[in-house]
Amino acid sequence: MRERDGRRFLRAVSAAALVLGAGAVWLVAQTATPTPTPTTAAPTHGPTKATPPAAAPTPGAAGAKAAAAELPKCGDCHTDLVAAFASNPHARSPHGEKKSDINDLCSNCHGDGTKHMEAGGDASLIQKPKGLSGSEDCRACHQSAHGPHDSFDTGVHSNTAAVNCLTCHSVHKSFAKSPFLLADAPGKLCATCHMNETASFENKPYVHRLNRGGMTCLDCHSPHATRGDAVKMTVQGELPCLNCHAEKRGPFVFQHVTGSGGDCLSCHQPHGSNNPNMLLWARVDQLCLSCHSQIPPPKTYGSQPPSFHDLTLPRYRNCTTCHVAVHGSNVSPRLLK
Amino acid sequence: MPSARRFRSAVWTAAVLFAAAASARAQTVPVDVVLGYRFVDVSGNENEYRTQINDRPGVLLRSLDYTAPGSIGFLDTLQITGSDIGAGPAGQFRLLAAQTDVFRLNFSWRETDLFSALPAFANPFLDQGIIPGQQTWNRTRNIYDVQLDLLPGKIVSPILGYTRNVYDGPGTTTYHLGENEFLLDQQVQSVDQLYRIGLDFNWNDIHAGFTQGWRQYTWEDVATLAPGAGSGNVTAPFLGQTQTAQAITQTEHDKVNTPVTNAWLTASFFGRLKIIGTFIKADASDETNFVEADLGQFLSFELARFFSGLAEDVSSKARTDYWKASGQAEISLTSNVQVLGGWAENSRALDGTALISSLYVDTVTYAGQSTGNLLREINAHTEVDEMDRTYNAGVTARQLGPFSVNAGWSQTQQNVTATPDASEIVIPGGQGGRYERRVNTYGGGATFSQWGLTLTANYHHDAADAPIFRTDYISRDRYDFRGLWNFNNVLKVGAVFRETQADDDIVTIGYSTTIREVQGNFEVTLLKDMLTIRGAGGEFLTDRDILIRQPQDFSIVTTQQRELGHNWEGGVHFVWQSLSLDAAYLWMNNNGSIPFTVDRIRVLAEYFFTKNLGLDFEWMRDKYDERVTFDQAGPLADFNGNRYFVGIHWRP
Repeated sequence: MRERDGRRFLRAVSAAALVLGAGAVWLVAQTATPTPTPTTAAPTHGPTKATPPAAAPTPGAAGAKAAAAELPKCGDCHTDLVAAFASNPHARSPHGEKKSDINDLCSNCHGDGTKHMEAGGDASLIQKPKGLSGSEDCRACHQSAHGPHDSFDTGVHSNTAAVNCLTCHSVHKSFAKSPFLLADAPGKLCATCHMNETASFENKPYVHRLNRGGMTCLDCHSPHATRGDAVKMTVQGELPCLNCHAEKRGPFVFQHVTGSGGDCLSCHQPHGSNNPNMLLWARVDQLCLSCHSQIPPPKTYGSQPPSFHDLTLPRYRNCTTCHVAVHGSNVSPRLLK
Repeated sequence: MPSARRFRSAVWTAAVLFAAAASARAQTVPVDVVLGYRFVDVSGNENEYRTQINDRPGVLLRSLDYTAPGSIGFLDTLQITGSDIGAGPAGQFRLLAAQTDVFRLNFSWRETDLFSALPAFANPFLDQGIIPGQQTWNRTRNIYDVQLDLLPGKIVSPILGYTRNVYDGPGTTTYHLGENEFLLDQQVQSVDQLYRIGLDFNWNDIHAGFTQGWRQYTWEDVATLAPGAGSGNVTAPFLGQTQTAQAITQTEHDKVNTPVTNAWLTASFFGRLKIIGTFIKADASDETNFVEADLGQFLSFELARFFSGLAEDVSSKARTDYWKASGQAEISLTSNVQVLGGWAENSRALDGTALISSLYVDTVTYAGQSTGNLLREINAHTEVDEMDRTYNAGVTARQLGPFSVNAGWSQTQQNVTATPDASEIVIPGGQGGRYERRVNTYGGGATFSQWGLTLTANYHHDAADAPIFRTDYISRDRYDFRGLWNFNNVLKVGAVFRETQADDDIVTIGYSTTIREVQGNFEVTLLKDMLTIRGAGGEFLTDRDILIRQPQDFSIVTTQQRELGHNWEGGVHFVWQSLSLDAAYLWMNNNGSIPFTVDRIRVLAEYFFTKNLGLDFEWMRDKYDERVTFDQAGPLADFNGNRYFVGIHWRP
């Protein structure tokens, strides 16, 4: 019955995806933009010399609009940038302040471009948000971070000369697959500084499939979190492992480690590992016996020893050959099933 | 699985329709698609290859991106991305559709093929060269998530969300019964669903959120004796009888309901003070029914009986009461100097009961006297209370010229109380008790950044008063040094040194761990926008000791883990007109407890015949060579996996 429900749900999702796909195609067909016509002559700069290129929008008739139209638009020269900006989140100001012309938005970050135009496009006469000072411009609008424990002031990546907004985000050249206008794939950005973790994922034999199938560093880590809170918890406040490995959550009548003083990281390495089960110790018996050895004092949790097991025999080397339910069991006190 | 395939087909259809629409109109459509076929050639242990890599042959939608160029009907944002859909082993699809200030819809789907058939894991026959081990799986995880934000950014913004995580497929496991272990075929399906509804509040400098969720989780597990596995792993007789099974069937059905409440608040006052509060409550209740029926010749030392069958029925309930709360204040002394202090606390109380009814059929004493059927009932009751409380304080000062510094202190108090239960392993009463631990952490760091050079140093010291588990440290030091230099984007050099030393010198524990990671890399642009070379190298060291009591003779010995690994990488990136090439060679050698060598080659070449149409070729090689050591498979695990992907890259 449940299986049928599952199939029904997945069929519905498949159907929805088909409908969405078809709908998207229709929308694309409705709105596909004509291929931009290259301007035949280089546009000149400055209000007095303005010669709108052929592809430029026709000026409006109203007086104010006509006056504004005498100025060249940013898009007259920066055609590709302005065209692409239509799909940029910054083209849609918050709280309903939508601009009818994308060109009107450029000055928000680049300042008044009149002198830049008058000087024939002198790059030194236009603001180019860059580095720490550019990132402080970002903060003029982006004052508070998204999550409650995220902070642009006290976060691990809060604005400094070493790492700032524009280290990872790019307003005009963002990576298409990444949200939040990231300049590249999250894994590549993190790898710039976090070389050890990157080497661990790239070189070790047993790893989470980072950068494949949508899994990125950001699934488990929050780049804007305050120090000590950089691991993203589940909605239940658990380690992010359980977002995928839900079957390990429990609760179990006979629980083991997790929920009783320990967690996933008591036994597992989260990044790359040399151990097939990503265990901290090389062998399973080493891992188990590191806790399950009664050599008091002091009395420690779970330290009573196992009964006679001859570890010189292959049968006993992997404790989990018999104690299969190492993550907890609802049916076996000895975690045998 | 068929449903997943159907979904894939839908995504494919969408991609093809995009292509058709775009080409028909001969207009610019912001679509980028890489579609092709992957060939796979594996020699050696294919199971190990699939456990580590699992790239399968077949059609592969390597990449799909679409971003709407401006408004489309009622949408002003439409973004679709997908990758690695088809041959797997991990694919994803994501859709974002929004109308600013009105709604934002996020949908994502991920599929991961999970495979494990290791030669040395759970394998009592490894010494005889029989592989793989007896615990294997070939399963799939599909995670769907959809969230609708209404009136995003407005004073009140409702949220609706749903997440579905399905994990299912076959595998094999083992079962210890009657002084023997038997191989079982296993089929599992777990479905984890989370429905959620909430409100976000945004009013000036006050932001808050409240979400109420309902998690429903089910687990179904059917395991049966694998064909030909009736002899079990132990062929030697005990007390004159070999233990064999004619039939084993286990069925488990598990259901968990968890209402989840999340609330948070951040408020800023006068641009100087920020207050943060969070609260989570999640009380889970589990009900499990388990039925088992076995037939064969078995022995129980515990009962001091032989028996010819077992009928077991388990009915259990587990409940956890869980809450977590935190509060933090951040004070800005100046625009770049902040002081913060906070508190966090969580509590988890488990209460579990299990009624285990075991009917041992046709029991016979060691002397051969029949004692008929024997019913044993266990009424287990477990209770564990866990509470953690943390206080922290810190200061950060940024933009002090080229310097930034931070320093902090935290104290964590842990309490675990376990109620003794008669069903405990081996020594009744040994498990229970109250365990307390307090950890003080001091640390800080500094960063210097100037002239393209960034230097960072961090140090933290943790001091604990007692262990809860034997592997808990009493003293821990963590060092982290990082240097990066970017010279006009022509030369980039980086290096990281990190070391953690943890120990507990209590004479009966003798725990010590050193983990050292050193890594460096460089990138040189020889010809701007044309030729770049890169290289990396590093060392990884683990040195871990602890006293254990060996369960074969109960003597106390030191168990050790020693690992020393080195890795090297060299690569080149070349672009010339319509041709781009990226190639890399990676090598890693590990010595000590798990000795192996990994060779990897990565080559991606792309040539655009026209402005819009290109041909992609990719070659990936992963060669794994394991060396013989205790309880490792050695050469039995070796494989050489080559994958070749040929595809069309279309970007109109």
